[in-house]
Amino acid sequence: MASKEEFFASLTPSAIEPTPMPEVAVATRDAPLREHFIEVLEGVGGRLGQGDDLGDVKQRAAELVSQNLQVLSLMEGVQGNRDPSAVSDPHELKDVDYTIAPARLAVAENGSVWISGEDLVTRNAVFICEHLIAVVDENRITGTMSEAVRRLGKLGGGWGVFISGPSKTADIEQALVMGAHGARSMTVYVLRGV
Amino acid sequence: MSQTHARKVETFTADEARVDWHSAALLALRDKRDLQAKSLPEWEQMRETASRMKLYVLSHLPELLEQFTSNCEANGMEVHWARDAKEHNEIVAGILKERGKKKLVKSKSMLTEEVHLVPHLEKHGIECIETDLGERILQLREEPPSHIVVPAIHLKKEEIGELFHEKIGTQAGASDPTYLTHAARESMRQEFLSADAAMTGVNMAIADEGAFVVCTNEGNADMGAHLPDLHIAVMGMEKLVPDADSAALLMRMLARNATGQPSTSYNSIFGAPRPGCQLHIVIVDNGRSLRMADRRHAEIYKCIRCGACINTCPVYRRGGGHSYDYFIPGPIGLAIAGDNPEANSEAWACTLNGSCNNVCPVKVPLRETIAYHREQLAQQKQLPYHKNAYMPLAGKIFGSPRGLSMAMAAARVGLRIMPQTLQRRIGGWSKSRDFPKPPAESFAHWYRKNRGE
Repeated sequence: MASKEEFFASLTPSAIEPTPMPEVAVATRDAPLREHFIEVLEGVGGRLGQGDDLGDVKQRAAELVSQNLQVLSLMEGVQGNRDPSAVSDPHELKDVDYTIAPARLAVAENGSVWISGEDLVTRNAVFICEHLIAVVDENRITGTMSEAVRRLGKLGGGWGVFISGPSKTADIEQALVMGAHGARSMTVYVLRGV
Repeated sequence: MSQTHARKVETFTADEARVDWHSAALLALRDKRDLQAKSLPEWEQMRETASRMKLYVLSHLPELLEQFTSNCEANGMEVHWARDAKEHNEIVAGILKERGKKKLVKSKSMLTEEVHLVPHLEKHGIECIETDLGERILQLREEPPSHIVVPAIHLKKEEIGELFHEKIGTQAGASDPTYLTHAARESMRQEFLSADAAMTGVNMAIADEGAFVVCTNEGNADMGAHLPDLHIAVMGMEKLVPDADSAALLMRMLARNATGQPSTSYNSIFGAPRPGCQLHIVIVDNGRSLRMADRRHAEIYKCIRCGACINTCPVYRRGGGHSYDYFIPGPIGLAIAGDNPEANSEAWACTLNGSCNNVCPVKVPLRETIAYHREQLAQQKQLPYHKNAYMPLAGKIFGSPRGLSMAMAAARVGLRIMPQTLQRRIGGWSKSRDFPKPPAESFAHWYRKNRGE
């Protein structure tokens, strides 16, 4: 096994002439971003939540709980029936039907939302659930992925994920199937800004 | 010396209906890619920027590697260095064995195919489960992938149905993709929950953050990485990008160019291990720096593994991924390893039509690199298909105007009087292709008659 020094010593110099770093232009998109986001979200198999107020999310959570489903809410002010503070190991979440999580950003061009690990009790909470509900403020919709990354600023460690629709695969004869390993469905509530 | 590409392709081309079906499936991906590319007005600008950004990376690798490493270490990850496949496999086995790990769930990584990691770990008694559905199907079939993005593109759903019936107990005769996928989901869920270590590849390693991006549609990389307390990420050193803006640029292009989606379902950015867990990164050379020391070979490492060149390649579409010698098929595979004298026919599994160049998101000069390999093999007298014998002769004949005109006259007459069935028996080129109908006269003759003074 090589040390870092041995590894570097073994590198033959690249024949590619020293090339300056180009300016990476940040592509932008014009309003209406909300409509654009929703259109693409539905195109990638996601759904728009019914209603644009946190109250609508609360009501949906209550409905799910009343159906005896396992609901893990990581959204402040939204009540599920699983206690996030009691989760000590991600394996415990294997029977979660719904995870409700806050998204810090949404991206119109690809229908994705950015979920930060800081907002989750454990990272796997948004993958292991059967269904995912994300909640985003409409003022946090950016046009492109490049704008979103700019808006996030320095990541500085940690973890986060852009999620664009449900888990999917087309590995069997190119037939699109939702629900490969992650959530079978993804619903995004876009809240009216304050 | 391995079998020639022309010989290996015969297994696949024996079933003409399957060839047509395979070709159409790949062209459909190409069509979806075109729609996505056209939907972005800045697409061509993005290709140019991405190409130059990767040239910057490849011409500044040592310093970017240093920067990436120190930032990863500051973020609590551990970085390992592997000069070749053997070192890579020993490092990974070492990490797992030291911690008493027995079961590894893996998401797709071309690097682990390159270094033959799985057989190595199995020798050490570590169970490895491929978790990408296509890769899992092939693991159960004990077969290599035939494509880098859609690894089981060569298989029919009925074949997968039979396999799943035998291996995971689906109903006999069932072949519905939704049913089979969901059965695999249930079966794989148990594997995820019982694994004690996870491995992912790396799509982009962000130097100034000490973070890396993993892109999947199925969510298998995340499902695997966020359960056990150990995550090993393995990467070829060319995966580096300088900053998050550059990563975002590639994220905007990767899925659009690969499968015609605006994004993969998941773009997961790892900048630290989970609390109480370990995250190891293994950085691999394995011949990369040697290839990059040759200017005419070096740009292959701009590649972001979208597979678009493979989808558009007429030879791949009609010959299948298992007809190649190198584990990466299609234009990018030929551009990487087409100089191998042991598999010297590979560089001729190409029409030099350049369709691959046109769709490459980072402008890898695929056609030029493949032509370069032909040039090198010719210089080493390593030409396939008896070209060493007849090409010098052909060069002599076609090099003289008189020789060319006589040969063409003979070909015009020969093709006119020789029945097609006999033409096919000549073998070689004409075996699976018809010669064009010969024109009545040569161009030179036509020109003298119509434009001559």
